[in-house]
Amino acid sequence: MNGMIITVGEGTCGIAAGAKDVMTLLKKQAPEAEFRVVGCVGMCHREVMVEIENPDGQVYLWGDVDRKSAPKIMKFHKGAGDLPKDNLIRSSENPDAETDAYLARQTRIALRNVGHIDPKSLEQAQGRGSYVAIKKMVAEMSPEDVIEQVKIANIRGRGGAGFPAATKWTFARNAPGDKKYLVCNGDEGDPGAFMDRSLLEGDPHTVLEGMLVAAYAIGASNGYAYIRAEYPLAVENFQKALEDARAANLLGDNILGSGFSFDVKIKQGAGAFVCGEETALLASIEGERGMPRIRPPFPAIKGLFAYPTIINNVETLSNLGWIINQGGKAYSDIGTSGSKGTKVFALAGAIKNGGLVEVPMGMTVRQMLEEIGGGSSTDYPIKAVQLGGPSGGCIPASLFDTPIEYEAINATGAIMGSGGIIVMDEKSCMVDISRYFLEFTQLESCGKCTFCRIGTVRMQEILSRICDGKGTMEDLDTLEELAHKIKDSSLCGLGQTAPNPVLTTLKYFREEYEAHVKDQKCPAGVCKGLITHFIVQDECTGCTICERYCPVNCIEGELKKPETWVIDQEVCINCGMCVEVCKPDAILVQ
Amino acid sequence: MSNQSLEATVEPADVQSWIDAIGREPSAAVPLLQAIQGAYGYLPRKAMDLVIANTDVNASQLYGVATFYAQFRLKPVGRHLIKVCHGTACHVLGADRLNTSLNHILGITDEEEDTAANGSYTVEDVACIGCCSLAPVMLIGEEAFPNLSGADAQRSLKKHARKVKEVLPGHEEMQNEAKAKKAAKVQEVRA
Amino acid sequence: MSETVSITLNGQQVEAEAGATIRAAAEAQGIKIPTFCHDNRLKPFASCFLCVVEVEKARTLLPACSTVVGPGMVIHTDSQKVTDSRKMALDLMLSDHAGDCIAPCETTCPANIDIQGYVAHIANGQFEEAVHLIKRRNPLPVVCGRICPHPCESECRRALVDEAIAINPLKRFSSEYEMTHGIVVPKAGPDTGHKVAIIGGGPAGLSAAYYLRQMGHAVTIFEALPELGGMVRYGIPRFRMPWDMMDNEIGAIIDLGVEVKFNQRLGSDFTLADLKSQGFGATLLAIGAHKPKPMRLENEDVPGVLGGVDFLRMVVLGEEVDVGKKVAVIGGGDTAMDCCRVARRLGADVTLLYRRTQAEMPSLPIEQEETEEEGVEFRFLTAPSKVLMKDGRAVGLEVITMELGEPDDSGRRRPVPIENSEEDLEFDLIIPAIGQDPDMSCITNETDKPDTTRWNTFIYDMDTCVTSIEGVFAAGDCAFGPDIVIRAVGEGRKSALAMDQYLNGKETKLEHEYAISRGRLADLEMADFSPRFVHKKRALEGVHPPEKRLTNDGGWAAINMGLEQAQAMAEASRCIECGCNARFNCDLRDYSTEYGATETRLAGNKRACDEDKRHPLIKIESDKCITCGSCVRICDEVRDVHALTFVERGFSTRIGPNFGDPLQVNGCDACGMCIDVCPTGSMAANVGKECGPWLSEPTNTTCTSCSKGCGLMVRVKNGIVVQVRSINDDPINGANICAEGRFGYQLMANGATNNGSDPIQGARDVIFNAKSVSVVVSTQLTVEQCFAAAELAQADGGRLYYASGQSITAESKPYGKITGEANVALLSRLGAKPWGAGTNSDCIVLVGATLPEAELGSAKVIAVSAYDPGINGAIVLPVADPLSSDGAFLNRDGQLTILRSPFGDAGERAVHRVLAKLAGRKALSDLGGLRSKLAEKVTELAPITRLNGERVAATELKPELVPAALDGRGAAFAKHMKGMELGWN
Repeated sequence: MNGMIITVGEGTCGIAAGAKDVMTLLKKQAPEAEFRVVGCVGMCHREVMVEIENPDGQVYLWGDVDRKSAPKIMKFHKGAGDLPKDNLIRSSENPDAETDAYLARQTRIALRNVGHIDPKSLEQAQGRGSYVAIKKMVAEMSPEDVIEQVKIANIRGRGGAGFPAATKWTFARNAPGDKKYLVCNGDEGDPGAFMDRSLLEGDPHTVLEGMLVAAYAIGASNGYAYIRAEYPLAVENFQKALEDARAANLLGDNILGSGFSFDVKIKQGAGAFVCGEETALLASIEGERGMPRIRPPFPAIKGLFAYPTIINNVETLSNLGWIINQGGKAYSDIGTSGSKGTKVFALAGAIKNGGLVEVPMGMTVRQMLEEIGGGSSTDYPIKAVQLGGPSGGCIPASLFDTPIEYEAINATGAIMGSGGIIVMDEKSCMVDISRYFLEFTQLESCGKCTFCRIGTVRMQEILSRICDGKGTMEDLDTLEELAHKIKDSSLCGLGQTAPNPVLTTLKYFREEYEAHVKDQKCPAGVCKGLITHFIVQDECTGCTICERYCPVNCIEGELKKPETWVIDQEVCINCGMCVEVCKPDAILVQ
Repeated sequence: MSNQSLEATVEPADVQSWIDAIGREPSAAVPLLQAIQGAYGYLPRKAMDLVIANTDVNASQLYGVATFYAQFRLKPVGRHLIKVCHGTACHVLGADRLNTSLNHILGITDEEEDTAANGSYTVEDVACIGCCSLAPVMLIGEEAFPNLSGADAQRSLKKHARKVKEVLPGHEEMQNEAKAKKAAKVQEVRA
Repeated sequence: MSETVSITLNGQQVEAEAGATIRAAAEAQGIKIPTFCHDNRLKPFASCFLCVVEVEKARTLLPACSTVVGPGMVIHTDSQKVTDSRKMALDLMLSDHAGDCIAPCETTCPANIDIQGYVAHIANGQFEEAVHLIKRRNPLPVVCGRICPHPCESECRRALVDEAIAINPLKRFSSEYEMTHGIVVPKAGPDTGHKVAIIGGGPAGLSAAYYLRQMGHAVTIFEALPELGGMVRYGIPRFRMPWDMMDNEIGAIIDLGVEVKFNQRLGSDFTLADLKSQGFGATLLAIGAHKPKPMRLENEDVPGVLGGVDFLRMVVLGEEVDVGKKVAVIGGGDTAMDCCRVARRLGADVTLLYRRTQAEMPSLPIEQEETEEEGVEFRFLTAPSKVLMKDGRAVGLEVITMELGEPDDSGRRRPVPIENSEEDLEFDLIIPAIGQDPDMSCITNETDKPDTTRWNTFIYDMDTCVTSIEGVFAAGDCAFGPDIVIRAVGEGRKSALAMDQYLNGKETKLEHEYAISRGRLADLEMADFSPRFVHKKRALEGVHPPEKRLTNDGGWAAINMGLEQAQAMAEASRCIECGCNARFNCDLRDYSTEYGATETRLAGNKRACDEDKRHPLIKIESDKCITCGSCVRICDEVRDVHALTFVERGFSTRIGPNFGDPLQVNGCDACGMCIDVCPTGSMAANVGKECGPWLSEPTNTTCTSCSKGCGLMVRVKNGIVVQVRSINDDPINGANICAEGRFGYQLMANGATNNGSDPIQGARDVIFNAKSVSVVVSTQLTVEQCFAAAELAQADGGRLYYASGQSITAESKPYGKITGEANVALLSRLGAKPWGAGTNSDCIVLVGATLPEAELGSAKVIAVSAYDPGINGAIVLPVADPLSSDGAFLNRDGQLTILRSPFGDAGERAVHRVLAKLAGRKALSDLGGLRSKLAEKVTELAPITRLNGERVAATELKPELVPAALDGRGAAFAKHMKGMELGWN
């Protein structure tokens, strides 16, 4: 087996799916092979993924690898077994149209190296072109040149707000002050978004390269990478990248002898969604509660420790090296008139090919869902996507031809946000999803402003009431009024966008709200207050498993006597455990 | 075993070493708390008092920060920490059920409580950990468990408990109940 | 000239200072923008979002407190959008706000008497003040004190601890104190030229007259009967309502200049139209309800049957009533009880017939009890079915036995007759007392009749008392139907306010002030109250035994003896003070009233927090907190103390002491600035009944605690300092005062008291028998105290020394009191030397100073001090509150500041007076004299002028005298705080 190269995807997803186990197993089976570890290629739905390159150059990409399938795959590679078809995603001999399309429809700029390199290896990163831009930049370009290229690229902040990066930089560049800061915002708090994690974990050097570009442009000598503590692997890999880059004089004093000095410290976030907001993030780095501050002064003028500060999102930064190398023009050739370049999305929910995708701006939602995502993963059609997490909104199927660009997305009431997309089918309740988001924002509100602190709770209470079948039509009006007022009278983005999930679902799925209120029904069968669990005795086998799993002991009957089995509705909390464990599907939810 | 026994013993020298490494300025507040929590699993009052006494971080700031961020706990944590992800994907696919079933098997009935009475496990809800395609997900310690149903969560926990030799109070109770039921039935049959 | 920018503010183009916030720019134009979280002492924060304004082209509304004006900005501060947003901000805050703006006793009282306020006065022994407060809302407290069924007590929260406060007995106590100590009479207002006719001299009419006279309107009461008092006189027997008391009280009202026409009955003697033609601008119908309700039985109009109120009235009028031997009274209310008891006193055997059981009887239990004690037989579940006749006269009743069925509308079980249970009973007199109606026959002659209801009451607006006829108002029983006296009194006042508005050509409208309540008694949990207080039984009024009641003065003497003074004060101190401390200065309340916000519109869960009273001076009621953070910020940004913090986040965000520890262990120095910046009652002075709250006028004065000269806003109520606050924009210290300025008055009230028989004489003997005397003063005394001490030293050829403690300068502690060496300059000028070891004396007088025991040696020590009685051989004299005295001191800018404090004379305990007595120099015990002596000695102080109430500067003092003169309160604090874990220096 000499010459065989085995590559295992060890992003957080891969590890969660058991990549470490698989790696150990494969090492035992093929001790002589060369093993490589890479970040997440983005096809999270097929984790654990293993790529095996035979000595003859044939490349096989395996998915859903586990303890059982790993030996079979190795056996096949040793020529001693059949092709384990279920695990094969593609190989040189067996190209897979869907997977090829999945990759072909994407344009990978930010994600260009993720999944291809060992994130802990500076050498591999450089092998794929990392830091070429830095050499070019310090040798040939003035900070103004850099800003000019970024201006030509017209890249807008990928964190959510979409503010043109070059404009922000210009403010900071021109702000007086002997000390300036560059902060990399890796506080990816949107539930459902994980592109920053993937980038920091899978390709930290590209992010760092972007920081160097930005720092050079604005004249910052100090940087912070603010990374969520929930991403330990990202912290670990980024730390390693910093050390390696420093050792290679790509970071620190007098970088590459150019006279440009810049160094970066990691600050770990401690769990606060609001810290994705620039001023809250700065407060957090300064050791305070993450409470947003009034702007102006803008951080570009007076930011971290009162010095001019630029905060750029991880994904934004990941594009910068490419822009320096290829020129701003090349970047702005991609995308639409208002939105240039590409955007990374995290696809999850009822979608076949869930994971990270990077698409050119202008692609429609439908194209992304169908051509890349492969459509619904369930028996039901997709009815909506939730875009932008708690700050975003729902786009109904009827608007799936909306192109993915800032203005068009905003027009639907949703926002681009950081790029989390939750795909929902008929079995998702839009009221419940709104309630979920409001519960989230309500807990994540920093508690400073009246409207956000109390208003979101009142909205959540009304939504809970509706989910419990206790809502009134008047509640819907109050909900809408609250939503508009909260948007209008909140200090920061969290409050200003918190009502979006409700406003968009009220706009596009009002009939679902009305069904809850008027008919006391949850059309999707989700809301616990409006559903009942029954045992269909004809289907029941009297196996007692439901009794054992019921957390409130509300199911009783005699062994092997199906006719005796009933659920005590007074006690039942509609948690659904019984449905989950019932083998003959004898439990009916109504 | 009560939660009391989970209180950590704080060594002033340890706290001092973190202060020396991290710094004394107000901006050191969060990393210092992270170091403390990293060591003890929660923020013992004594350790926080040492920070206040030996740095420029004042009590108002430290307590404000400690209660602001979701990461920090002021109460001792069980010997093992279970984190249940409540990201959107996990929510849509039934993360709540993981909590219900975990609490059940751990015998946690009080809504205010998150640690099993014997101090074995603490169940904590966490914000999205970014493994949305594997939802619902939970972590026991560092180990992740993907694509869980409520029943899966119980099974995984039982397995983990056997490995680390912990008793699950709720599970014990369930077994006792089952035994009692069986015994009653036997009695009935005999009669 | 600073730069300006042009902005458009509510349509007006104006110039605003560049860099100013929208709020400041608007204020410069006289536009006040509401806010909670903004305070000039603090950095802009933008959290409450009450101050939002609309700026054209802005995406959202903007907080005016922290948005800086930009050139060309077009701002609207009062658009609909802005108002709606502010209202919702308030709705949201109120939805998470819990408390009682006003105590439930007051809101329950139909006349809204400030019960908590007067109970507090009684607890303090301020009985006259209590009467003043009561009489603001009730001119008949004596009457009500005797007979009011006190709905207030049924809502008293003390009942959740043990038993309700004896509110009515307390009112009676204080009002009768008034009777014996000089009656409290308000002033009649200057004549307005308007004339008002009041028809009916009962409680409603009298009350209206009382208020109308204070407004200056001419009032004529037309009374159908020969005396005033209405139902109180003619429907309540005088053993319950002694006439002399009532006459006094009514007399005080009439003495305001009310004209009364007796025996003038509407309808028969005059009409409403007549009054109009006589020039009465407004007329009040207050004719009461004097017509007994009929039983609707056969033969009830025959002799031998007499309606309850008719019976009582005839007895009062002295008309002959033949009660015979056996009397039946029918009914279960208070009138029925009164009829029984009067009939008993007239010598009859009385049987009360009531169709339900005792449990359903509407009269007060105590009335029932007393009636039974007086020998009246109660027959329950018995209803008359027929009046039995003989010779055209009633001789008895056919009665039928009832049983209780289903509950009716009133919630009481309906009595149902049991078939064939009829029975005949013999009676000489039958008195149906089942209620009364207004007698509407009085308006039959009118051409323009006020509309009436089917219950024979006038149709009127319950808020404004307006009837269907312009200029005619109605109040009391004839309007709302028979009810309790206090309701008529309340309506009398309401009608007076409305008539005043009407006479002045204004719209008649009642202003509603916003108030939140924790809820009705029945909805509250005992567990939330009971454990928080020491349980104590309710005071009981003394009542004569039945034999005495029936025989004293023929049975007509008063039967109830009320409370004793000590009893009353103890009872009043049981009050748990539900009403908010900030009742009279709550921004949240004011804005909620202005914007019409409510706590119900967006109701939801509230954060529930316990009241934190662990700090001896500061109370935190987080339930009332709106999380504006001002307290945290002033403690942090301005005071650099950091005792408070924001806790948690999201909806649960709250404000509290660090780690939930008591505030005082968090380094709190009790400056109480958190109280000043709190827009609600969440942060409050931890004071009790001695401070009300009462409505009081603020006075600005200057603190005498140290030589800084901080401005103080002091609220005084009847000689009691109830609150001290900082003055906005005070240039001396940026409006930041210290604990001594704020709480000094309170500590002094609790200070040590004199324990000897005549300690001054004793001390004098010691001083004048000594060979050499040393007077050692603290460097914390006021100018006058230092001087008086110097005079004492000289009186016996002694020496003056100072013992300087820790030196606190204005620089070392910007907002604290300055002490120590900073004050040495003045003392040196007075000839004082620093105290040093080895100074020989056989008598040492310590004035506010302490010395180590070793230095005292064998000398006899006299300490003029309130705070450290532990010194060997010390004679302890209390130091009085310097705030209670006039004081002169130097401010920071080297100017002599003179104040005339509003607190009156300090009395015998003032330090300078004690020193003057010790020195035997009478001239010095008067502050004026003291000052002129001081001026002689320290010539630079010469042109001392006294300017009333003004903080002035006029001086030619040398700079070295600048930081001078303190008093002893710092040390008093030290003692107060001892054992409370409060560090103090």
